[in-house]
Formats: sequence, structure tokens, C-alpha cells
Amino acid sequence: MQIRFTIETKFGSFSDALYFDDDHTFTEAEVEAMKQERLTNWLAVIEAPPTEETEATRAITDAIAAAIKAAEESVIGEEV
Amino acid sequence: MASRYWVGGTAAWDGTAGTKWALTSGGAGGQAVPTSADDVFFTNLSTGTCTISTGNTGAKSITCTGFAGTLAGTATISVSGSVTLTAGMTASYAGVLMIIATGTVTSAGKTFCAGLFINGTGITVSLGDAFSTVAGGGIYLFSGTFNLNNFTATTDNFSSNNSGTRAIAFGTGNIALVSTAAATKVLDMANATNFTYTGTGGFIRNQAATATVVFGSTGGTVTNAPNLTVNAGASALTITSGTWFNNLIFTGSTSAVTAINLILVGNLTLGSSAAYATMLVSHFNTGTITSNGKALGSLVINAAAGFAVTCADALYLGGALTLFRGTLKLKTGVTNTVASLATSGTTLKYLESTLAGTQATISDTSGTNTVTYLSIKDSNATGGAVFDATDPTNVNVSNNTGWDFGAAAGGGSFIAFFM
Repeated sequence: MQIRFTIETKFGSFSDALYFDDDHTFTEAEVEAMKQERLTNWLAVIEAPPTEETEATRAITDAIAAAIKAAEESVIGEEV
Repeated sequence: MASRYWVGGTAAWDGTAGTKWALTSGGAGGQAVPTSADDVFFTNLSTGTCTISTGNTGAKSITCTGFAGTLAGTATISVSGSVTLTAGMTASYAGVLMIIATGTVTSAGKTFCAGLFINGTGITVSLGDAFSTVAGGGIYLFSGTFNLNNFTATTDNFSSNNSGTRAIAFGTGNIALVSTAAATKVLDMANATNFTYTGTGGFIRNQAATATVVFGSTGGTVTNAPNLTVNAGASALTITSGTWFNNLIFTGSTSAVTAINLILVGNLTLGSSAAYATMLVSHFNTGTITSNGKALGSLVINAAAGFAVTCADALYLGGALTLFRGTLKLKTGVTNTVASLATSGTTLKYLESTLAGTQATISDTSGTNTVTYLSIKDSNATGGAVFDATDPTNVNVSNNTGWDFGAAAGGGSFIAFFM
């Protein structure tokens, strides 16, 4: 089963879903805690302070650039 | 087409078969490496860390059910369908996940992949829940439809700068652009040719770091301009010249905003604690401008006939107000301030108030504001400047003061003469 939820924040609405087996035994409070955890994790990303480029982010940038190049080559006849 | 089940151990998902793939859950390893025709499963009987590595030949789908191990790696993988993670697993994968066929991405609260690439003519990639790329990651829409399915997608930057046929189905969902690295182009859609969207959602941004956004300097239209809400943060935002937005809302942000030749379709709401003096706006279509006491650089009303731009509060322009087409309704009961007023073109345009029969005040301190082809109604022109409406193409509809309509006043004065 899917439980969709939307929580309004000062950063806009956060919409997510939890998935459970139909016969799950989670209590309402536990489900609410899971929703809150998802929200907390999202807010941590949204509210993150400015950062400097790191080796990890540089590696990601390079990997994406290479993948973009490959993707562009796969879009035949389309300008990317 | 077949199924491949991850057996376990710590191994690379690359081009080597080894003993890591089985035909059944818990089955014996030694099967061939999955390909784009194979559904890949990580189950409760799969163990260890699977590191997606160079040499992998993709998968038709990836489904994790009851898996308590780790999906890792940084290599690109191409998937021709759905990707489903599960809550109990660890997903440290930080490569590029390229979806090339219709499918659903369900990430179970995991932040994973550096890049989500959507690249397939006519495909639809839907979200099964909220989605987040890793820090530094991005979502790239080359072709096909990205269906948020009303969920929130979170990524450092969104890029779709091409002319492929592509769409975003926002529904009520948003794409949060969260890069915290300075000077990142968090929305990169300079070329919006063949882009469309549906829904009421849009892009949201916390200006924790300086950033640039661009949409549609090529291919932007009144129908494909998206919404952007900047809802927090103090760092400067640059909107690239020629960018289109539908609703542009600054709520809670104290950022200084630079936008030369910004084209708006819907509503503009300025934040009360920010600076917009270098925002030069051209407004198409129907919308509401809420200034919240802040000054725009300049404003051009370029709405089609029958469309009106309405001011919800006092309009402040550090520069010119230019009426080109359509109707501008200034707020009554406040003083609307401009540095100059001008008209452009030979299409009749309309200056009115928000309340018929009640004047709206427009104030300019100096100079002469000469207008042509302007229909004026319920307007009090004041402040010291000359408001010259003597050109016979103007129409003095009714209830105007402070304007010089000269001897050849338009329809309103004509009617008044005989009344």
C-alpha cells in the first residue's frame, strides 16, 4: 500500500509517499515518524549552507559531463 | 529477456559474469551479466555491496525488495524501465542513472545517483515517491516526459537545454533546486524549443548561494514558461536575459535579483526584504504584480488584447513604465510611482484602475511623459511631471485628472462635452 503525504514548509510543499505491505504492523505514530524523517532529511538538503567544491563534487561534475556528452551523441538529429 | 538476481558478496556490476548473478532469488551464481533486456532484482537473499561499475550493460529494470545490502558505484548505468529501491537498503550509488524507456523511479527516501537522465523519444519517467539526487547532482531531461506524479524532486540543478520533444508533468509537485555551490546555473533551459509542461507546480529555490536561472531565451512562450518560487536565502540571483517565467514569486528571500529583459506571463510577487532595482520586466498575458513596497527597475506591459496586468499594491518603478499592448490596472488608494511613462506601438492600450469609477494615482516627479494610442480611465496623474496625452490617438475615457488631453481630447471628453 502507498501512503502519500504533503507537508507545507516555508520552502514550499514537500510531497512524498511511503510504501508498506498491506498487512504491515506499523502504528500510526510510527508512520508519522517515518513521514517526519523524510521531511527532516529533505529540509536538511534545502537548508544546507553554501559549500565549496570538493573532490567528490568535482568527480560528480566530471561524471555528469561525460554522460551528457554520451547522451548528446545518442539524441540523433536533436540539438542538445 | 530474463531475470537476474544479485547473489551477494562485495562485487562490481561490470562486464564480468563471475558468480554474482543468478536466475532465481537465492539461486546459484554464474549466470551472464544482465543486459538492457533483463530485469534485475536485489532481494532479501541478496547480500553485500553491489558496485555499479564501468562495463555494465544496463538493465531493463532494477527492483530492490527486502534487500539489506548496498547499491554503490559511480559509473553510468542505462535502465530501460523502472528503478525501485527499498527502505532497508543502503543506496550510495552516485553515478548517472540513465532512463531510456518508460518507467517509474521509487527511491524509498534514499538520496542516490549524481544524475538522473531522461532520454527517450515518447517515454514517460514517473516518480513513485519523492526523489533526490546526491549533492552536486542534477536532473537532465533530454527527451520524453518527466512525470513528478505530484511528488517533490530535489536536485542541485535541472537541465533541459535542447530542442528535443520533452515535457514535465508537475501536477502539484515541485522541483527543488538546491545547489549550495556559488554561481551554479540551477535552472539551465536556455533552449526551450519543443518543451511543454502541465500542472500547477514548478521550480522552487532557496538562495543559500548565488545562482543563475535561464529559461526559454530560445523557444520560450506564454504557454511553456514555468513557475519559479524563490522562498528563502540571501544570496544574489541572476535571471539570464530573455528568460521567461509564468509565476515568479519571491517569498522569504532577501536576495538581490538581477534580470535584464525578463518576460513574465503570470504573477510577479516581490519579497519585502530584497532588492529588485535591476529587474527589467516585460509582462505578457494576464497577471498580478505584488510589489510589497519594493521597486522594480522597469516594466513593459506587452499583454495581448483583452489581457490585463493588475497591481495588487503600489507599483514602484525606478525606471520606465512602458505600455505596449493590453491593459495595466493600477491600484487605487495608493501612489504608484514611476521614473517615466511612455507608450510604444500603434495598438490601443489601456491604463485603468483596479476599481472602476475610482482613480488610481500615478506619480512622476519630473520631465514630460508623452503617450500615444492610450485609453485612459480613472487616472490621477501627479508628482510634478507633465503627462502629455494631447496626441489625438489617445482616448480620455472618464474620471481622469492631471493629464493634458489638449484641445483634441478623445472619446471621453467628447462625450462629456455634450453631457
